[in-house]
Amino acid sequence: MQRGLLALLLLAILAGLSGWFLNELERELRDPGKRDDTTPVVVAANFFSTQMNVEGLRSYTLSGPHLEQLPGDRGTFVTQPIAHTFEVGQPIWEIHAETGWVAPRNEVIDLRGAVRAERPASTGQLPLVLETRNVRLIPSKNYAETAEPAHITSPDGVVDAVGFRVWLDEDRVELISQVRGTYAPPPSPRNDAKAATP
Amino acid sequence: LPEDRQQPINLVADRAEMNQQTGVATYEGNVVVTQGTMRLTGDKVVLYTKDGEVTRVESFGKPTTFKQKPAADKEDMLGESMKLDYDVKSGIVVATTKAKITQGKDVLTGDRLEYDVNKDVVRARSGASAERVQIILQPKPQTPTKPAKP
Repeated sequence: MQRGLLALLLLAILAGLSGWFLNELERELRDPGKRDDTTPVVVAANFFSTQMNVEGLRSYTLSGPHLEQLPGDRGTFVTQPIAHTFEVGQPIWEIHAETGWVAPRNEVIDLRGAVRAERPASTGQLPLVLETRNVRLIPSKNYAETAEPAHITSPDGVVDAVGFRVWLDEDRVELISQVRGTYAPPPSPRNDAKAATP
Repeated sequence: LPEDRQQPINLVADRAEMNQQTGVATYEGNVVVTQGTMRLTGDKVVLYTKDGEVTRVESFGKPTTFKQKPAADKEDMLGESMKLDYDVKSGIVVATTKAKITQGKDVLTGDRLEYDVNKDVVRARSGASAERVQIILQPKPQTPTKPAKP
């Protein structure tokens, strides 16, 4: 009788344990976020990611030596990111930063620390080099902004300002304050003629 | 000075918007543009560029002012009005609305004044308000004549 009781007790404990175990497993599957949320769900070294647009063309690429995507809505952290923007599949801007953070669904990219963006002459547009810090990029709107001092260099001259907003596809830059510009003088025909004569 | 055009253009403003597709850059707030001896001030200055060269400058203010030394041996030319429009290629500055040009002690006012930077020539016209062009010329200081020897 006693052995039966013992077996019954053992069975009850087993049932209880497995019930608890099943509960834990189900809670885990239903809401993985609930576990320790500092553990990255994706870690990549020397990654290269490409964002396509609806026409199947490259919209932008992002690469870097190290990437960590955190669980839930905590986004993705990137060290020494290099971003390239594209227009109709053609590369336009190359942007470097110290670190980067990409929001879920790539809605926002924060380029942190020193940021350098260059549009080379090969794009067929006015070559520009833009040096600043802490830039927020909104890829879907081809828009970037910062509140930090910025230094913009082009063959025409140099402009310094504090804070800017850039609409990349409209080629429009708004300089927010303390604007200082120097435009190089146009090459004068006389100087060119003098230079040309042997 | 004739060589002003070869000098870099320096520009200071509170804020700016530059559109590379249209080639228009708009500067607003305490705007000061200098190029050699030329100095332009305004509340809003619009620079039109083509192929990287500034082709036209529009300036608005209360007033907007323009200053330039036409030649080493000449006095500065000072212009002011509510609007200045400088066509870089022709070298013509058009001042409209309460326009006034001063050189030394000579003063010219009218609704529309044109100043040819290259030729140092001023043309004045009264506008719709039919207010006549005013010209005030001051006598040139007499060069002291040496007293006759006894």
